[in-house]
Amino acid sequence: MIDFGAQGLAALQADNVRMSPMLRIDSDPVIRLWTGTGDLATSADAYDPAGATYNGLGIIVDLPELSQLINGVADRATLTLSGISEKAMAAASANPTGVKNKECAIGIALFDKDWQIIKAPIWLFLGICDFPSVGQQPSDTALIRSMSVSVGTLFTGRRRPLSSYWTDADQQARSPGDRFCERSILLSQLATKTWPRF
Amino acid sequence: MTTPVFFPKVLCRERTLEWTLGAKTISSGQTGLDALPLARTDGGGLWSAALSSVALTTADLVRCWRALDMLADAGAQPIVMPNIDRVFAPWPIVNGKPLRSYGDVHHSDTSPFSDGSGYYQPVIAAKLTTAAALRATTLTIAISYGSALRGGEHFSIEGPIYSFRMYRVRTAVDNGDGTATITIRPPLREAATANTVLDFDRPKCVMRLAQSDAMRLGLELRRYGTPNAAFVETFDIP
Repeated sequence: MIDFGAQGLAALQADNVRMSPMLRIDSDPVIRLWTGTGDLATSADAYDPAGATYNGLGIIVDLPELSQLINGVADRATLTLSGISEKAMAAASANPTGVKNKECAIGIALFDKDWQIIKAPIWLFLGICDFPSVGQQPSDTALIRSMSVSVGTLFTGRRRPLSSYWTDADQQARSPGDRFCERSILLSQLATKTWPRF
Repeated sequence: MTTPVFFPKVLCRERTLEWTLGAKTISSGQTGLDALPLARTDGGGLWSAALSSVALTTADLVRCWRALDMLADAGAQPIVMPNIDRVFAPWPIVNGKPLRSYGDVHHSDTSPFSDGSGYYQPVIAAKLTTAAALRATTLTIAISYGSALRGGEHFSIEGPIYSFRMYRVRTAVDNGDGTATITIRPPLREAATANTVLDFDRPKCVMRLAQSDAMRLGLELRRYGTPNAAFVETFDIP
């Protein structure tokens, strides 16, 4: 349950919302970014008990769509930062293990009318980082370098098959011998049940 | 730290000058309740400056422009851009006229430097009276020499990390005790201590070229040019 607080809820209910997405990767050193400009100091939260300073990415950065866990299909999100410097790209290529298996949190910061942050950042998505990848793409005027890191949810595992449906096969995989879902096939779509039966 | 590159005053001869605080918003369109909900996600905005039709009428000006283009290094090198508000700054009124400059101030024996120039002395004296936190938008200031603020003025603060950062006054309220409470945009780029000097004379901002060819110069008759230039604020340290 996310606690926005009374002031945060009021800010979200307003017609005009001032908010910024935030990103925190628990690498060494910790990567703290927000989509605004300049530095942003936050108060204490679960990650940084003493508060922290987030670095601005500028105003042209987009974060991917995030979705909740549905039907046991773990979501993956790819965070991409384009327009990075050659130096940063070389560093990412040279040390790709820096962020692998590190915790990545995506959240939002809410602001009041004077652009002061309300409470601490509110974290909405928690994932585990995979390898970063780098790429470059020529455009009309310049070469655009970009760096991406794929982030999986805590439920992402490559070796395990999906077993999250209430079918007999899945149930047998979970608990061999259990007959709870034995007849669920009869309840599937397009199966016609005659009722009432005279 | 290298010496920052300053945009020279001789090139401040553009036909139109545009300083904009860029913002990024997300709108969901019109809803059934007649409202247009809007979310702003940039946290305060980023300065951009556009100069159009800079009149380069002499060979020296053309050379200066070309040299500056090379110094800007296609955007890799930050440039300190001045925003000289000759008309709108809160100049002190002396004998019914705004006092905009002391001119070159010479040494006490009235001799200038060997190249004929003197010292520069800012006219408007303003400072913070209380310390301000990072991202503060309300400041308490004192202007010991200058006119009262009305809103819409520009000033800059030279910070220890990010150097020159420009701000625009939104509202100004005179507290009656020699200080004024002002609200500003964008939020302060870094914390400032009490007595920090506010530069209203020649506000400056660290910027870089908006695109790699933003200072392209086309010469007319191989002599004159009226190029345009566009800059955006950068957080690279000059």
